[in-house]
Amino acid sequence: MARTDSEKTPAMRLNAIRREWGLSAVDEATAQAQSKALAPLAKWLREGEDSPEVVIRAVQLLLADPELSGVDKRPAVETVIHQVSNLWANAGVEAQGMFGLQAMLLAAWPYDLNRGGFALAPLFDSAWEVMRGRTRQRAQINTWRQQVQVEDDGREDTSEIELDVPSLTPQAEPLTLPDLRPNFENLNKLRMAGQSVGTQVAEIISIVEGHKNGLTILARRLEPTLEVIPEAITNLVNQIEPALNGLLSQSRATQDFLWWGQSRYSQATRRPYRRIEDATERLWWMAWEASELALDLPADPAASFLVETLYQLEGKVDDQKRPLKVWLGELIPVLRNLHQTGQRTDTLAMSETLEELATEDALGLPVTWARLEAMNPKGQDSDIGERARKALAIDVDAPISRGDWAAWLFREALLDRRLHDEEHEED
Amino acid sequence: MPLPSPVRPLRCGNPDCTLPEGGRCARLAEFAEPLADCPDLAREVKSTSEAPSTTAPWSGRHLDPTEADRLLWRTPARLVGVLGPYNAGKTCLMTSFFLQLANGQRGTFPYRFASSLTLHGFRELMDQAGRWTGKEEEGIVPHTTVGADTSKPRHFLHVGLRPKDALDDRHIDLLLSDLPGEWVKGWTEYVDTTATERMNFIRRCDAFILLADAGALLAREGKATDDETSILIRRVLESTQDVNPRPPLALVLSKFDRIIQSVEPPPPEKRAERDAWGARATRLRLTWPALEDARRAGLPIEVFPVSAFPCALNQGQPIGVLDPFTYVMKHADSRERWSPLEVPIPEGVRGFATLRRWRDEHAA
Repeated sequence: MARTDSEKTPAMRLNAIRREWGLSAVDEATAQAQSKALAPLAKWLREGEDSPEVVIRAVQLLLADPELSGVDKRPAVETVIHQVSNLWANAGVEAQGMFGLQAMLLAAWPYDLNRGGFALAPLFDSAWEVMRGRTRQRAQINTWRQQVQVEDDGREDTSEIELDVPSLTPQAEPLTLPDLRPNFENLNKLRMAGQSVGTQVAEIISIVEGHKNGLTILARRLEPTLEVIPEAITNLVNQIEPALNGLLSQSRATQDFLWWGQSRYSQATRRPYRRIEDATERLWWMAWEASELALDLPADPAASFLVETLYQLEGKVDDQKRPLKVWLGELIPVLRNLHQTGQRTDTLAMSETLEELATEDALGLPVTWARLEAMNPKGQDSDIGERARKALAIDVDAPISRGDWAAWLFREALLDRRLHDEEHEED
Repeated sequence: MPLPSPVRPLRCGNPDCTLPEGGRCARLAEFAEPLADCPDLAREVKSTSEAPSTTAPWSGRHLDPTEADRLLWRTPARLVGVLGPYNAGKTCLMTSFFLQLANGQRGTFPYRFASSLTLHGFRELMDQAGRWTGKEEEGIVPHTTVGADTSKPRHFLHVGLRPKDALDDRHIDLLLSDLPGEWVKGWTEYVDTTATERMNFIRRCDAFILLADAGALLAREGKATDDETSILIRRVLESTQDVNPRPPLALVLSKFDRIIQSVEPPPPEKRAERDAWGARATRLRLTWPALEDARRAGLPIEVFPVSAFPCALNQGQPIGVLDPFTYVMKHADSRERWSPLEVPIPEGVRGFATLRRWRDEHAA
């Protein structure tokens, strides 16, 4: 049976990518050098489980169009190059060039990890939707996207819980008890002989007396087992409780999210969404509040639910497409106004990790970039399209619908909230 | 001890000295040769190991397969296989393409010249082409030779392109194969494994430009050229049968100026149709069926009559040279194109918006 991508080794995957991207086969020495060079990259990527910034930078590198001018000088890309360049140079592998670097990154990706930082990778999905060209890479990137989509939804999987219950089988020699069966044949004979009841009772007592030793042995053997049972039950409860709590909390989160969708009420502005006149502000609050409720829910269905709720509220959400830069141009003044008028600015505060990463390089993060622009007291609302083009390195002319834009807002808000949660767990 | 030789730019601590600016030394009376002897002049002589290399990391001539591979690792360069028999005009086509591009004569070609790793190679070809007086018997550019060192041949030309669209900030590398006709022949005829191995790049090609001498192909005695061309088309088809998406194929009928008096090419949209060429099509007894088979196999096909050097450089312009390149790049660099943003113009508005409405109405 052919191996799936995730089962192959990084070196095997790199060879497959080389073939698919039309790069000529390398000799054995080069292949060995490349395998060696993949190891530090794979090691660095695996750190992403506990360090989300690794995953964010890696996804940004893959998002970057390798033909875009100056893309290899962007901080997001240089971060990855910096991790491996020395080791690669020693291995004789060229670290220059985005195309090869992206091939190496796809080959070294730890496909077996989908928790922690790796659960953030699917939150870049909206950015992938506006990718243009890149014909040679597209199939491989789509395969990678499908594999990272296997998202950890935060739900405790009860099928995988292994209960630590002590064995109740006494660790002793097999118990050999004397025959405890009353000798009914004798009893019957006595009854038949017409003896008195007293005689019969005496006979029974003597039978019981005869088996006393056996009963004593049985009680002694049961004693340690009976002592272990309460401990076992406590252990069992301790193990089941978090799983049950997880399920209950999941159920509660789902219930809250459904209730939000039905009520269509903004807790942040304390009014129904339909009463928020500005369409951009309404969309922002919907996405922002939905992300709070969907923190522990699978992201894609939650994004879909948000768009469905938007449809219930506004009608068609997919009929008119507008360039990304136009959506951004509307969002920044609204966020700036919210920020300046002090309306719920506490809820708009960004996670430190995301702020730091996006300030350095916001490649593929338009919503985060817009929030940073809005928070900047010296920020301007002019030339947003041109500035966004430079800052985001994605196609800001790509036409997207209001529904898709809502999903984009939601995904990036969720990215921020998950990073925020991570920071506070660390605290 | 003699002072080290001065290096420019010079600096002098003496406020009266203007020597570094090309003037005179303030202590000229003390030193007959102040540049060599004056101790006030600051001199920095870098050791040779610290001095930046003045040599570019590439030779500027045709790229060898290793250099081409390295480029293909760095960027998703578009590799175009320019193939044809001996004397079909492959190098002439590429030289003329480069001349037009470098001169800013882009025509319909939606890219502008941005860079070249083989500038020296192009320059040699241009120099030769510039010396051509227009006589048919003279060679326009030197024939691409097999060369002495066949193990490491240098047969790729490079052009860096930038899209015409001002919002498209990409740098696209274009590699063009410039091979001797003998090699192409050896490959099509399965001469030996070496002939096949040195053409391994074919599978990586994003597009093909196949050349055939129009005069030889459409002449009564053009059977041999017809045969060669059809075999070449079928060989390309065979070598790319599992390549997806299917690479486009532009058949260039070169040196068309030599037969333009007797053959009028059909309109551009009909050039790939056999019937449009009338009686001349019957002379392509093998080429047309090969083209039709390739089209059935999914390869986009187009035919281009081209004249790369219809006359000496100072006497006229090439004809149709950019068209096959425009065609192959349309496929090799296919991207979704967004329609321009439509901003409604309010009724009764004056000023620039009025001009825009006028422009839009007249453009329509």
